[in-house]
Amino acid sequence: MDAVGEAAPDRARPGGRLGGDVARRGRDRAAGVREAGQWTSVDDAELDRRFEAAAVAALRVPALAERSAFLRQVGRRVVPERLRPAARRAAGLVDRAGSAALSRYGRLRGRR
Amino acid sequence: MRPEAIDQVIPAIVEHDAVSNHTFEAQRLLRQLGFASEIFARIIGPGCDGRVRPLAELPTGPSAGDRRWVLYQSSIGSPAADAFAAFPGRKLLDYHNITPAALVERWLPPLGDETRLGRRQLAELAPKVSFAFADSAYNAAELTEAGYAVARVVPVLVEAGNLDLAPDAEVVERLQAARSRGGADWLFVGQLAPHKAQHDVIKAFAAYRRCFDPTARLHLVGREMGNAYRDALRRLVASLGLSAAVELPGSVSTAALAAYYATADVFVCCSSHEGFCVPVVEAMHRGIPVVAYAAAAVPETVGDAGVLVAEKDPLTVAATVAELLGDAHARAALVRAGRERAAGYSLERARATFRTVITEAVDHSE
Repeated sequence: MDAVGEAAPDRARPGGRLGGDVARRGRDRAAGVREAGQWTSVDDAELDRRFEAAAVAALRVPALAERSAFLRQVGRRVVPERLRPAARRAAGLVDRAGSAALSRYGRLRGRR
Repeated sequence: MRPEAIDQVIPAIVEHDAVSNHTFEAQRLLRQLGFASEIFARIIGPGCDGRVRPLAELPTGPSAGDRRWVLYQSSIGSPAADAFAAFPGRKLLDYHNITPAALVERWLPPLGDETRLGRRQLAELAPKVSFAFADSAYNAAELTEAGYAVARVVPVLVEAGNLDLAPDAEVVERLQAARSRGGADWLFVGQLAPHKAQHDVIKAFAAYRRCFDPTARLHLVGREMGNAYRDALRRLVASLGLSAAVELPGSVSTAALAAYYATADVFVCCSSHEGFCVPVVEAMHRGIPVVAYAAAAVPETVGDAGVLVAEKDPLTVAATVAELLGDAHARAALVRAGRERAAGYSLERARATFRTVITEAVDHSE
C-alpha cells in the first residue's frame, strides 16, 4: 500500500508497465482507426453536439417546471377567479414563445 | 490528555454511501479503542435513524471539550462545519475531498455553492484542527495545501468482500442471456453525477460499438445525483440509438451489484474527479480489469493494477478497451494485479491504519 499512514507523497503515480503498454497500444490503435478514416474529428464533434443537445434539453425541463410553478403561485394571488381561464390561455402562449429563449439561457449557463 | 470520547460530526449520513459507511466503521473502531463515540449529523437519511444523533445535540458548553474530542468527516460545505469549528475541545478532521464546483454547478447550482463553501470551510478549519487525515495521498496533499500541519493517509474503511455474496439470480440470468448473444459488457459504478462523467463513458462506448464491437453493452449502475444529469444521459443514449445497449438501472441492492460485477468484462471509469473511487477497488477485487482516466486520486487507487488513459478522447478509450479485451495475457495479468491491489485496501488493513493514526493523534496531544 502506498503512503498509508505516511505524510502525503507526490500526487503523480505512473501506471504499471503492463497497463502502460496496453494504454500505448490503445493510442496506436486509435491512431490507426483515424488514419483509415473509420473515425474522424467529425464523429468526435457529433458526439459532443449530441451531448450538448441532451444537456440543454434536460436542463430546460426543470427550469420550465420551476417557472410554471412560480407563475401559478403568483397568478392565484393577483388574478381574479373569473379571469383565470383567459389568463391560463395567455400563459400558454407566453410559455411556448419563451421556450426558445429559455433554450438559449440553458446554453449560456453551460458555458459558465 | 487521553479523551474519554471521540465523537464524529458529518454533514449528512445516508445508506449505500462510502463516506457514511466509513463513518459507521470509524465509530466501531473508536469504541474498540476504548472511547465513547457518537455520530452527529445535520441530515440523517432513512435507515440511519437510531444510530445517529441530530447535530443540535452535539455538546457545546464550555466544559464539553474537557475529555471529549470531535472528528469531522469533510466532503461538502455545511453548517455542520461551523458547529465543529465552535466545539470547544480538540478537533480532528478526516478529508474525503470536495468536488470542484465547476464540475457540478451547471447541473445543480446549489451543489456548486455547497462545494465552494466546503473548500472555504476546509481552509478556515486548518488552524483549529490539531490532527488531520485523508483517504488518499491526493486528498492529503490538498490538506497540506490548505494549511494543515499534519496530513496522514487512512484509506476508506470499506469491505469489497461484501460483494462476495451470492449475486442476485434474476439479474445474473438477464445479463447472461444478453451475453449469450455475444459482445462485451462494460461496467461503471457510481452516482450518476457530472463529475463522474458517465457521458464520457457513453461517448467512448459509442465509438467502441462502431469501431470494434457492435454487440457490446454498457451498464451504468448508481443512483442519480439530480434529475437533469440523468435525463441528459438518457437523451444522449437515445440520440445515439443505443437504448437497447446501455442500461441505467439506478441504485441496486448489494446482490444485484455483485451480479453486475460477476458478468462484466471491463470496468471503465472516465471520472473527472475522485477523492478515492471505491468502485475501482470493488472491480479489482471482483477480478474485472480496469481502464480509467487518470484524474485526481484515480491513478493512486488504480496503482499499477489497471490501464490509465491520459485523455478522455472517446476513440482512445474505446481502442484501449479493445486492446485489453483482445489480449488474454494482459487481461489475466491485470486481473491478478488488481486482486492484489484490492487486498491492499482490505478493511482489515484500513482498520489497522485507522487505529494507528488515532493512537498517533492521542500521543500527539500528550
